Amino acid sequence: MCFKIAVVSGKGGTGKTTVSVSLMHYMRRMLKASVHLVDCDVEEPNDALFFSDKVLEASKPIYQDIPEINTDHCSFCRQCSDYCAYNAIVVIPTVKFAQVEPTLCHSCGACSVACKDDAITLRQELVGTVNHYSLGDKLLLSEGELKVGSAMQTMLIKALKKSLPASDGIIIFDAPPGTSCSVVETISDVDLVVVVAEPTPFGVHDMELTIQLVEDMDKPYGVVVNKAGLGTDAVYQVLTDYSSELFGTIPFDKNYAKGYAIGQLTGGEQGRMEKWYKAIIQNIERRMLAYEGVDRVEW
Amino acid sequence: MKELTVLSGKGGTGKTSVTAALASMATHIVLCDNDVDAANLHLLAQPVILEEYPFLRMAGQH
Repeated sequence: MCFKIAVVSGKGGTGKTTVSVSLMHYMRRMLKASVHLVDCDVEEPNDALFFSDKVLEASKPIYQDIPEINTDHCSFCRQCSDYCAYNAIVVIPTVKFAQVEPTLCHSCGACSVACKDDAITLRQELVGTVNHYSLGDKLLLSEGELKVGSAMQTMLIKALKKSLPASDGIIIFDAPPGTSCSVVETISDVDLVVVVAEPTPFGVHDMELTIQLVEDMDKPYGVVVNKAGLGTDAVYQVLTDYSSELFGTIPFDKNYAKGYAIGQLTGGEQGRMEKWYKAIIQNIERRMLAYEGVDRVEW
Repeated sequence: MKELTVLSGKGGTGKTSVTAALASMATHIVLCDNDVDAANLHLLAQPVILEEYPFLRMAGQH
């Protein structure tokens, strides 16, 4: 059975990517499971940077359909602009003007349905690219890379998820920061959400927003406090207030941060984080087993 | 009036900190937190709220 996990945080820079990449590394080892890492932070995908041994297996451009209005056929009835939920179409009948603003268009297709004059044709515009990498001999890392300037994050994340090969292991989705559409899309179909928080006033504030979002979406979740020992203990009070489960903490460690700063997350000196991840993975596994209806496991 | 934008690709690089630091050196300044997903600048600037109102979208929009 495939188990899907989303790693999220409201604030940027709390350690989503660090936790995602590390979870992948330690889950493969500790759970002997196949783990596919999927970078949904399509505006700034970073996961792949941590894998020097990756091989690009497939790269696929993703397009959106942008409508164009042929004013020779258009009767300027304004049905298309009335249908458009995104205010992307301007029609001024008195001067026979009708145009689509591509940066506002979400390619929903409503205008094509609304048009009785056959005046709308579609052209394809690049949204971004979906990349699949293999690590060793298997395809285990995927990412979406949004074209600079495109506002179609959600569409690209959908395309990225659709392109994934069937899995009977674990899929980890590294989410974008924030609490809006692209995060909702990343979380929408997962079985468990891991909220990564940092114990600063900003981290606590944004973690609370994230918990509200995840609870609103009715998703099971737990919290990982990264850089623990820095800043404030207020983060734990919020967890109590929301009755949120603490999956575990990862202590702030200057030497670890130094390794991260040159692109190292696991292996060698960085292995000192293993015990903290083990505790987190045990808690996640308990949730996975509950999901599958199994109540015990041997470690 | 001069307008200045502070931005970064990666999260957690210090947009809010730099903004607050610059603000602390200015005398006449308007600060605007555009990170509407997870606004944090108010945590540093601790402003007195003078006005607050809901921002509504047109019905039927998504």
